[in-house]
Amino acid sequence: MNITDRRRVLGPSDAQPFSLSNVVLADDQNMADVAESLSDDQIPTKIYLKSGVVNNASGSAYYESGAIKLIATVYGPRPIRGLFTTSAKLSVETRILPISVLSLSTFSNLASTSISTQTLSNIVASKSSQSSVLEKNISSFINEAILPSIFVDNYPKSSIDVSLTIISSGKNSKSVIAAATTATSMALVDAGIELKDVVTAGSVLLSRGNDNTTFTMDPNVIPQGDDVDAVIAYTSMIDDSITGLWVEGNKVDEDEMKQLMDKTRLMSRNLRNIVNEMLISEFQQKETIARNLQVSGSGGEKEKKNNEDEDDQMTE
Amino acid sequence: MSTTIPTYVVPGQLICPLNEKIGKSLVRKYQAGNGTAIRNLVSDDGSVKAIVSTVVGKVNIRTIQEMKEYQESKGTYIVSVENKFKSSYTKSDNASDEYGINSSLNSTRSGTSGLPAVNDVVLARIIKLSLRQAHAEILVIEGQGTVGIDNGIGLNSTEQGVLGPAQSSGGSGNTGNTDIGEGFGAIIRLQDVRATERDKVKILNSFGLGDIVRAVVISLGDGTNYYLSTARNDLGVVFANSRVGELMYPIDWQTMKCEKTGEIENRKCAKPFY
Repeated sequence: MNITDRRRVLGPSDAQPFSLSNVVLADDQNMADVAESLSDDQIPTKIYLKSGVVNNASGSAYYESGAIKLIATVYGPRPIRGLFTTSAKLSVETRILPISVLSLSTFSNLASTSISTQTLSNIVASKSSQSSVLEKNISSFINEAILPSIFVDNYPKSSIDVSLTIISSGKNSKSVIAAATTATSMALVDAGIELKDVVTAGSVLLSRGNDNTTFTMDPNVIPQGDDVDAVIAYTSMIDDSITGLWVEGNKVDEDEMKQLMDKTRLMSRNLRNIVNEMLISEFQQKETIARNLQVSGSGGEKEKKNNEDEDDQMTE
Repeated sequence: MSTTIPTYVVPGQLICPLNEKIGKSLVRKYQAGNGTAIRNLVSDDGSVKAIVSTVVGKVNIRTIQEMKEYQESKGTYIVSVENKFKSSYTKSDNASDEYGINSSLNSTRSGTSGLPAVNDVVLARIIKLSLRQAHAEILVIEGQGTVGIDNGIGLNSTEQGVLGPAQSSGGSGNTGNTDIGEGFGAIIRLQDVRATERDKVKILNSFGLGDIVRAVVISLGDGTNYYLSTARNDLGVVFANSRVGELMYPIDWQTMKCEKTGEIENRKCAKPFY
């Protein structure tokens, strides 16, 4: 009898060993555009979003903007064992790949005098331990920001597991978190999980240099001295209510807080427009593929490939 | 003036109000169907209840007359959001497809995360038999598709080279997510096997290991198992292998016959035509 070892994830049966001759250079016009838009002093205005990037997950999304590259993957709703629960449990696990931590820690050497102590401790912790403080904080922030948007009551006795991989990041952790929140929402949508709204987030840095406060959204600028660093998540389509808020810094007065909120609200609204556009165009593509398959039988596979090539979306 | 209803929607998007005035005395009523929810919209003039989308998909509006013949429900529509595409199973007549399932059809993947609910008709595989109850694993919800499409272990993956349980479960058919404790477990209790002569039911004369059973969900059960019932004519064993591993066909309500050997085994058969 043909039994495979089901307790382990074996590679696909048609896997080929890696060798340099197998490597095909990526010929993706859109990716090139992203690279172009990355001038140092500028906020990257271009975002690359794609859902359904992980095949064996219920849903997934890839987010790229400037140096930030991350993948959110959703598994579930999965059955749970044990006691009956009337609603789904959401669990988020974040992993920052060493390569992105490296970019943080390299910077800390350059600017060790001006870096905030908390960021520094985050960096040190992420280098030394398995699951760093920063990773845990990101997980719990995203859990809190996303949970209100899910109709958890529709999924009794099940769990929705989100796995977040930060492949690369800028120097500012808050902008990564904003991106991660958006990507997680998109992955949930891709998984077909019923949502009240898609949560998007914005991050902004309030700099207090030379008596005038400025706001920057550049993911490569880190807080210094008395700066305030914030990431705020919104459900932009319903009522702009805040689902997650993380403000770090000194002496924030009412006016500054209001400005932080205005800025992040605008960012998440803009982001939401992009996400909406993306979701609908991706859905329409899937629909076209399904229709082609229905019409032409197995011949539709070819068209599907073509469609996938056009799949990559660039939005400005 | 009538509101324009969007064709494609994203989660959180407004579709239409619950009641819409068209003309002086005419009111168009909408009901929230699949993929939608009702939300209270508060404005300065008061609050209005409206239907919003909860998934990405295409809005579908049906008149209620298609379902029921109530005269008074005239002018009532059911609004739902469709996010599923024709199942890959409907294409399985393709002879070139080795497993009967088009393995490259990724597009059916989205939106198949529905969980079994009470009154859903499901297809389940029997995985364990005892004197009091039969344990099963829910595979498919009728009209909704595969349940727990993937648990992250690649078993149900549509990726090339990875075999899902549907493809690899030949023979005894006793493989699947339950082997690693990640399936949607279910129990058919002795008293839920059939509607008549309940006291004479024997589990071992009703099901066999690896049988595919059509059943209705009667309870969400406890944390681990759903409760299923086959106490209806159209419910029961739909596919079963005989002792020698050949397919059997039903010859009456309680027996099935092996195609090859002619051997007769006891089963609680489902009515083959419905």
